[in-house]
Amino acid sequence: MRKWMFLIVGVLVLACCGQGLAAEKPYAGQELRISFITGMPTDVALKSVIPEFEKETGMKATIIDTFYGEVLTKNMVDLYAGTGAYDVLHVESIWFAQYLPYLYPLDEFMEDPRLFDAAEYDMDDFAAFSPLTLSVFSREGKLYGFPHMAGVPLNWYRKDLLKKAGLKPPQDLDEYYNHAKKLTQDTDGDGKIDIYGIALSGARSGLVDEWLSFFFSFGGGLHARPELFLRTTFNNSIGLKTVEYYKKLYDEVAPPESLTWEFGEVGSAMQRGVVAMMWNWTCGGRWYDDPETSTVVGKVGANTFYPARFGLNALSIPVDGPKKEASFEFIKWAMSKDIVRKTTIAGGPNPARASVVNDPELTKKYWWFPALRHAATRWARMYLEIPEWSAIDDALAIEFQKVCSGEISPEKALEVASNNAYEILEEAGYFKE
Amino acid sequence: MSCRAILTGSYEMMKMQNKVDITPYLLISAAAAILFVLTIYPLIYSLALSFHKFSIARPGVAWRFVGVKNYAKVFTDPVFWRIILNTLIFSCSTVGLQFAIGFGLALLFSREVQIRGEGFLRTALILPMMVPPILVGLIWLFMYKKDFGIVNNILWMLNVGPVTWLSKPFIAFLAIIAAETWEWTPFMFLLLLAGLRSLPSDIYESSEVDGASTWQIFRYVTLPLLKPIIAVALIIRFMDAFRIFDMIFQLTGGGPGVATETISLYIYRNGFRYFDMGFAAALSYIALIIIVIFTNVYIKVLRRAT
Repeated sequence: MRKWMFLIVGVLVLACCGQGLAAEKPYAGQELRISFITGMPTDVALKSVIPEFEKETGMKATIIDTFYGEVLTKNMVDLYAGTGAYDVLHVESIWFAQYLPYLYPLDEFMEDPRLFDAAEYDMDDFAAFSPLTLSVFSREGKLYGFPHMAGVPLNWYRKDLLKKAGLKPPQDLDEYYNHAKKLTQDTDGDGKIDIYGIALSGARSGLVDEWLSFFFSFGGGLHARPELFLRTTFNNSIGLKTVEYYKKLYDEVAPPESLTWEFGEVGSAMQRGVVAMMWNWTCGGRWYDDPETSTVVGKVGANTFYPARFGLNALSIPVDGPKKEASFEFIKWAMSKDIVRKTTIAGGPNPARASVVNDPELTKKYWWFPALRHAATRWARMYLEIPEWSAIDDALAIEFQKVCSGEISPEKALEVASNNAYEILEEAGYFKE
Repeated sequence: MSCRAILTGSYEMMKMQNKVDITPYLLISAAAAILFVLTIYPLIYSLALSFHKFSIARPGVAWRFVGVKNYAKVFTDPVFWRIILNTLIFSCSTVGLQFAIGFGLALLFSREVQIRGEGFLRTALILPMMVPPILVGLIWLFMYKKDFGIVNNILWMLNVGPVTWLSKPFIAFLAIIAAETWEWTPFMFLLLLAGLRSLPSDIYESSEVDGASTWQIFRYVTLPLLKPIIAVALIIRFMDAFRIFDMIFQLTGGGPGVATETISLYIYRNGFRYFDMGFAAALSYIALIIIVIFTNVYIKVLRRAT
């Protein structure tokens, strides 16, 4: 009889333990397929701490990497087909409008006390970084993604070269050009330029962000709503000044091949020591101090003096994702204070949490964080968040590239680009009564 | 045989003749179903799409019938004509170069006298064809780099350059032609070599007996006999070059401006970057029509010549 009692008690204890474990790891055994962008430093860093998530939750996270240039196409085709190929998506804010119909709002999970404790999670920490951090991924009061990484382009410069030339970091675009002119040098006297004053992000996919940064800096503006767009929004004296300025930079102080470069190649040029300054995103900030790949360790500084796009990315859940609660669990984990800090330390220096960007210990390691904070609060802005933005972006980039390569005049380029942009919006129906 | 027997017999025969044998239809039904699902249905679907306005970035908005508006937009779009010109120049020049180099190499390797290390050379020559086009783009991208690319290194040794290969419209176009020629000359070489090796030797022997010179043999024997193979090689390569995508996508992305953009990149840009699916479908149909017309004209000209 006593044996039976022991047996029954034992079974009950085991069952309770099992239930306890199940309650602790409710999604154990599930596999999450997560779409990341190849080589994006924050994604790479997050991947390195994912084993912790797997250990904590009993879930398996499978990362599907896609190159930046192809990720939108690949994901959109899958989302339209409703294949349920992904449980979590890395969404770039500039494509948010295209992704939006396929994203599941997170509010349902955030309002469930079983899944989320808002006070403990400290959502205000995101908003404290920049007012845009949460608003960019919100529509009609609903949040469609937790901010995964946030960056703003800064002016990166070689401290040693500026010092040698007796210059201080530029504070406006005139100084930027004048400094670049002085820093463009043939160091060995063989008649070829060895160090260029700047590098441009002149590739079709990178040019417009940089151009708009200069356009805003010269006093240009972009309407808040597409309905207000005019043929003269870009085609005006400021637009012309910006195109001419961009061409002047390309012709006189930038490597000729930078018409095919975007942020990776521009960063690589700085690492190789062939450029003295550059407009570039903060996500590559760590590259310049990497002794394995950089020849300019400790020689690079950063400041900010131009408005620029807020390069915010989020982790979101697709509507056709079959494991939404488990996906939310991953997003919540990945964007928690502790993991954002760990990811930042592991080499993803684009935290979207103010507490991490303000961390004195991290600021010592990532010396550009003060400039990033300043840029995020003072200069960061968004463009028109509409599905047609990619087409407008290309319409501008194609014509401005033609100017740089000497095919057409700045006036002609602005006229064609502005008309094309207007017609894209007109065809999409934004100007109907 | 009685009259009735004859009548019954002919009736049985008629019955047999009228009875449809469904076996052949059953045998091809699987292939027909696959053909319908994978080829005919998508063709009909995309044709229908080309008369509509639809974007996968706005899945909530249904297809809107726009008639021939997408086609009209294609023909009034100045970029389209520039891109068609790019595509034709690219296709004709790359196929021409591949043919000239490939044929030369095939003639060299088809000689009876063996070249030393011929086996190794032949394998080395066909290697580029084995590399996926996207990797060809990547390889040439590094080869064209101004600071550390091998092309500029060679030019530097010759005291020329450096050249920024992908930033100037005309040079960038030459750069993509060179990469495509490098990749697909082996195809031309292999096909023409196989053709040359299959030609009957007795005609050559009798030509030599008749005192024909090497040029005369080439002009009046080799070329006419090889014409069908040349035609197939040129058509296959032209169709392939016309729809080039991967290599240019990797190498220049169509830039600077639209200097190296071809029709496939333009379709991709409209369909999968702007998600203007109706316009992209109309572009695809026009590209299809152009290639069908071009191929048919070519075949007719060739038939007339032979």
